[in-house]
Amino acid sequence: MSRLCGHCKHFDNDPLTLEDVFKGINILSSVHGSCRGDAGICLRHDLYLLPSHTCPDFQEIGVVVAGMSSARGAMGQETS
Amino acid sequence: MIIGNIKKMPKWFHTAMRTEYYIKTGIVLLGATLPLTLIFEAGGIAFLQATIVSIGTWMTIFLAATRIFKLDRRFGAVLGTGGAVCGVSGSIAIGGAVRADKDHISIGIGVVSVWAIVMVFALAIVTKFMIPPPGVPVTDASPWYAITPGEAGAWVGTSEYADAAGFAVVAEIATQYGDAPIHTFTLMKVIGRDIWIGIWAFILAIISCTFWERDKSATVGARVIWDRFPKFVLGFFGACIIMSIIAGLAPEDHVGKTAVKGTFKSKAQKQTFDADFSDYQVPEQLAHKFAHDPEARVITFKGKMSLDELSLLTSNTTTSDQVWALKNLHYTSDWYESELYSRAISPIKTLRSWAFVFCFLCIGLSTRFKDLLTFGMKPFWAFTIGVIVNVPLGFTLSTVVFSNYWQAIK
Repeated sequence: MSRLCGHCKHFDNDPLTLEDVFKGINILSSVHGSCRGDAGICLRHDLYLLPSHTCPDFQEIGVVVAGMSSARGAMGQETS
Repeated sequence: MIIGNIKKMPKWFHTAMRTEYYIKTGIVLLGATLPLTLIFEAGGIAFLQATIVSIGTWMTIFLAATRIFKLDRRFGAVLGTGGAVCGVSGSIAIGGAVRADKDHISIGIGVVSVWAIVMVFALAIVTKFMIPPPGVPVTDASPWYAITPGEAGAWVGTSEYADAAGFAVVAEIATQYGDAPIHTFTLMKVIGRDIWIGIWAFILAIISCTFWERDKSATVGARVIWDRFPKFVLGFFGACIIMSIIAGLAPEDHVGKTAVKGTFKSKAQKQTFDADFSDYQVPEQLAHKFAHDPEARVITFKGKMSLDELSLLTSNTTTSDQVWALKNLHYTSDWYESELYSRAISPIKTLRSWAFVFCFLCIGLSTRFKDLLTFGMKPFWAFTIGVIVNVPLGFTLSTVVFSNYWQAIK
């Protein structure tokens, strides 16, 4: 598995999560369109980015480091 | 909007309350009613005007945000693209490409949405004041501020920040002045501005990782251009091409036919008639085209009747009922108007109107100022400076520099 943000446990691009974070996005746009595409938020750095981005803090989905819980798991989005 | 701000809509209603789906459906349907030739004729001007305005507005907001208010460059890019390209969609497309702070995206959405909603009312009121009453042309004797509906649509397309909000303005103008403002708005906003969002995302992603972050490991592929491309525009072009092909398939042997008793209807006139053609003398030149069947009580005309031919036929009439019957025959002899328009284009326009009605309903019900007004004054003022540049620039380009092009579009 490549170390891209899209494969990181901190990355979340679930539309419902994004709608909750970006309140008001549905008024004139949506998180389901091509303009958003597959971009999501990094729950570790509070950034909004593409899954093709990279970062030194990459953590593979499903791997739990001592003292650090899975952000996606904390939001009920754990996938593996 | 009042209901939406007083009472929060239930969760189960949110799926039906997605503005973007209705506006995209409306734009695709709009493609079916827009002649392809119009896009070829005015598309280049729309692109040129959009380029001038987009670059000017983006630079203004970006420089105001970063130089005057000392905001983060990526935040400036998010705000700038929201004002220059395609509103909230532009902000989220660029936000992902430049790796913006998620709070900056939220603020960008708030600022762009508030200004877009303000501009719905401001542009609708101002343009309706500037356009002369229906039927009154803009001449040298008109007030200095007088503009045509076509110019108004182009201006709205240049100075409104979101498709849905812009359509709210031009649909309002169109109720009195016909489809010209909708056509020029679509050319300007959808073809001129929206389709370049992928290019903006690609360029800003390169600038971000090369100059702002200096991240040597980051790579930006040209694929982002396609990924961010608003795909509904393909539906718009597809519908436009399909309908243009169908329009070109008009049968050469089409025979217009009308009963001698009926009702003539046009946009401006409605008249019932009961004509008697038993003594009617057909002009010799048109004897091979015009026919009267007294048993079936119908008159027919082979091929499309020109206005000269109509004039020739009416010159031999003896009653006004015959004139109205011939006018109706003139209409039915035009395959595009009597068959394609009435059976396909007109229902599509009705459907399109409903798509926009639901779109505006969704904007109203989903707008909660409490959720939007969470931004500080610095991003608001940076964006406002962009508005101050964008609106007069859009007005000048639409009504002075490229005025002839927008006036010509009906």
